Amino acid sequence: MKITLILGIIASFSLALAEHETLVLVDNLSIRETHSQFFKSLQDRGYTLTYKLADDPNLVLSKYGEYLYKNLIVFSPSVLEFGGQIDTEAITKFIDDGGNLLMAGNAAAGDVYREIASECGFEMDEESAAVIDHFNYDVSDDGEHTRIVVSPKNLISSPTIVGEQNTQPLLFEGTGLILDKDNALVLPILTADSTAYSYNPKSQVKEYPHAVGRKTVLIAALQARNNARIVFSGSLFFFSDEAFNSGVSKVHGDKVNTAQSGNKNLAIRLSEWAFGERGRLRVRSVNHNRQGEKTSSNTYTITDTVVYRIEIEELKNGKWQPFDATDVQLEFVRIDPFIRTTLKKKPNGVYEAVFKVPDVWGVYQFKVDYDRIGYTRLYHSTQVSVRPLQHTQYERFIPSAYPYYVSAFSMMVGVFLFSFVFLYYKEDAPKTKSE
Amino acid sequence: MYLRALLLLSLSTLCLSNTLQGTIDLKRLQTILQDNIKSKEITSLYYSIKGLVQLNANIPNICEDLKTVKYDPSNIEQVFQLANAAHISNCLNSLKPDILSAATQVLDKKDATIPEIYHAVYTLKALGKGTVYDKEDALKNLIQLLKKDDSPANYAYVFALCEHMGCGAWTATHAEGVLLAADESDSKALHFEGGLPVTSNLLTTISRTYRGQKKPSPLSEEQRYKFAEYLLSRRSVNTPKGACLLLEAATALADDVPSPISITIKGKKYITSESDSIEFSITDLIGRPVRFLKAEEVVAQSGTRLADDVVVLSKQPLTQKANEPTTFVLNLSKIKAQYGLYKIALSAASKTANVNVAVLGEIQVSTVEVGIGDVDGTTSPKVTTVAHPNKLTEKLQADHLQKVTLKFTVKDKWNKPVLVQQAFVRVASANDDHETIFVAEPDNTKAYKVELNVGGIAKHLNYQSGAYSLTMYLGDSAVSNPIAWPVGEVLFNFGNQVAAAVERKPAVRGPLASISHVFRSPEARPARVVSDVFAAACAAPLLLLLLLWARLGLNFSNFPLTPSALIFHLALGASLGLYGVLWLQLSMFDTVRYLVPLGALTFLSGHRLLRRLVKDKAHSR
Repeated sequence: MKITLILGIIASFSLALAEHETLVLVDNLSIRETHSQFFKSLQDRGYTLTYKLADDPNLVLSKYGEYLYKNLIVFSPSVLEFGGQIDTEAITKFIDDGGNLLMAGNAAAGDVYREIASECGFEMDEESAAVIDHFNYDVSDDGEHTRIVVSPKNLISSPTIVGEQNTQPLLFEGTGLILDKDNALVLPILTADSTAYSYNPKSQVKEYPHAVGRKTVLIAALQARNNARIVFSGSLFFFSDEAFNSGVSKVHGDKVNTAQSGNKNLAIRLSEWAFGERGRLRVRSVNHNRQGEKTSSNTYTITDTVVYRIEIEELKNGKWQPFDATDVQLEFVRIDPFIRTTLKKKPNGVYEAVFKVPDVWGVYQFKVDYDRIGYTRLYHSTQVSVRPLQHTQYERFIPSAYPYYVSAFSMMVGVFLFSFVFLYYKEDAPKTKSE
Repeated sequence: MYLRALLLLSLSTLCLSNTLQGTIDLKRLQTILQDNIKSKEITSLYYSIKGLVQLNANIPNICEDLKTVKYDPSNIEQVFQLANAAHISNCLNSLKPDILSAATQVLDKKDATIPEIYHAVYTLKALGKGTVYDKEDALKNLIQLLKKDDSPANYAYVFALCEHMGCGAWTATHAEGVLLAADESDSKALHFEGGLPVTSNLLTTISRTYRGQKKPSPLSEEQRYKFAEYLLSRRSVNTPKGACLLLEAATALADDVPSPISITIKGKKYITSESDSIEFSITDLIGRPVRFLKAEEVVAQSGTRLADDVVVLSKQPLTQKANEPTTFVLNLSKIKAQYGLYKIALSAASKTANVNVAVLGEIQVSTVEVGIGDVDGTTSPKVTTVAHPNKLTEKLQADHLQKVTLKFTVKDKWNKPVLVQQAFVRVASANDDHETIFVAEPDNTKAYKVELNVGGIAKHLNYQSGAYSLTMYLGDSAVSNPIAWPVGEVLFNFGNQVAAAVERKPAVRGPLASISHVFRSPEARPARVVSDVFAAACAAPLLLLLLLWARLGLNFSNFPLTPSALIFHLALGASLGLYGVLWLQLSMFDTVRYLVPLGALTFLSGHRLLRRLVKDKAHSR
């Protein structure tokens, strides 16, 4: 008993540890110091960071088929080719197997970055192209107007990903990303202003820039269908201590002037989201029954009234707690949804729907497919069969059918009486005839 | 074109120079230390208090904290930290006596290592019992130990012990050798194996010892700059230990004469025609004014334009700003009219730094011609001219067979046409949801032109006809006043293309429209009265039958009073009654179950009855 208990504790510890194993790939170890505040915030939240040079010949992500890390941070824009067993393919496989990736580049990032970006559904602008904004650059800019000030209004409106308190302007210096509009999984976390564009700052604009105006995405994210998360920033500077600590003061336009940029807050929120500390949902229990009954059933009759309950939990501060939302929907599906209704919120994260089963019989599914920006996709389906009425369940006393009832019964009475008349009637007439 | 050409060269702020490019922010370090002074952990507490003493900052009373602080009595380093924290803060009374024995035990050990000896000796010193160690033997002993492990860290401890025992002379003979063992990274910075703690300990003990011996520091100038460079790279420390060590090392380097000089631009790195001076801050490593530096010695040796290497200034002295001994102002009014990037070699005493400075110019655009004409160019376009800050007075209209042309020229302050990097025209829908940006292209005379083919741009604007605003953006890195000019509104009519456009809806995430099932409506039923009348009509034949039978006069004289007859009629009646019950409540299967025995009974008894009736009839005949 004791041994199993201890084993259980060890197992749960190692699980918790595995969640926090993080590999950090850097260009040189001084990034550890120039980005120390970001790394410290991760360590404070319990992550085990393993720093490795990106071209270290002994790099491995997995051993004996098991991943050594759950999260991967790539802060090595100048790498030409990863060392060891890591390459674009290995990283893609890592994501396919559920690993999380946080990647930051800059204007000089090489082709490896572009390859990984396009595997994740983003497109990174050409080498040496940087996001330029002649209207919104910071005083600390070096003259090319590439250290731009981005208003927090340009953030995606999803508190799960970026948090709620983003009021400070953000500093960004790096390359722009382009997203495919039709890819629903890719999210533009931070976009540039209309005045910005991505081009080589040293040359005249001769071709149409790849990213112009608000189409220039500065930080993008992707939540894959397996709930692996990727945050891709065009700027490594965005995560640096310098950006975290420095004040923001715009040279032109409205006088934005703050003592501290919003980078630290946003960077920490993004890392929390990317590594699955926020926005994770799970189904705790599901049950459904006819209204008024206690036990669950897997067969319903058409037009039954059904009560469906689902209990959803959200991971908050490392604990599973009741989830709070108003837009969870239930679908009752037979090939196509017959009913789609918003579930009512009950206490303790229970969501309930009461509805009447359609008058079409067949095999149906209760489906809850909660796919919201920033949350893991929650999908749950239960199959039930819906059958037609039994012959006793139809209406028996239909007023307009009384003529038929009456005829049937009058016929029966008639038969009963006629049976007497037919069998026992004694004629008198033949007697008189014979007489 | 020249604005652009000027920027083709690299913009790196500082080229090779022999000064530092930053200072260590003491205020930041002080905040770290002050935030940790109430720490419950002895290491943080010790370094916080040590650092604050170094800064001459106010130290709160921590005697109570020292009583409750957690430490491991068997770990001599923590004991050392506790004793010294108490010593610095005059709280020796709040210590427990067991720490004394911890120190003496270490010294009695045969195989004590150098760090242990150092910590034990300094614990005893802090407690006021510092004379335990005998000088001659001790030094020999330490040298023996050093032979086993001559890491820089151990040298730092031995040097520190020497300070205590008064063998500074030995330190002086060995320090230079140790300094040569420092590691160099990127041929820019020097540090010792073991990082900041070892580097800091060695630098501080060596400089303290040499000062005690009244000797000039053994560090060469190059070494000084390289160590300072390393310390600068670590300026973002955020632990109290790191802050304290960085502080001590930086102060030690800055106090050495001559100390490394840092030259940085303070504030903006560009000049415009309005503000034509640049401020430099010239300080030592920790942001103090440089000692022995006279204001006349700060001179801009030369200024070169990066684009064509033309020397624009030489030997221009800087003026010291009043009340700010570290700030020097360089007036560049001579070159403010020549846009571009300049490299300025600035020297302070014997040191020179190269700094890049940008000269920004103003641009202006006087008018834009908005022309609307047919795509095929058969008719001459209708041109409306708008002067700079104004907007179009009327809403222009253009349909899908027309094109809108914008022509403008960007000029500098002296009305000479120039090229800029960003000359964009933004077309945005009235509610600002959609925007599309077009790049204006210059011709040979540097006149910019954008052609918006209304039919062609429809796809960028979702084929939504309506009012669109036109905004011009003109900007460049060498421009001090980027222009965003809302030119006005144009009504675009995309014609039938609206119908042709198949709007592809991207997959939406979020609540979907709710669906409710439409149930089959019940069939129409006649009024109750009608069905009742018909029910009565259906019952009528039976009544008529009974009536006629009554008129005819029936007799049942043939009725044989036998059990079979009775049973037959009872069973038949029951079967018919069962149908009534089926209607009222039974299910079909129940009915069949009851009907089977009843039917059998009816059959048997009926058979018997009929046989009898036939027999009777034959008999009677």
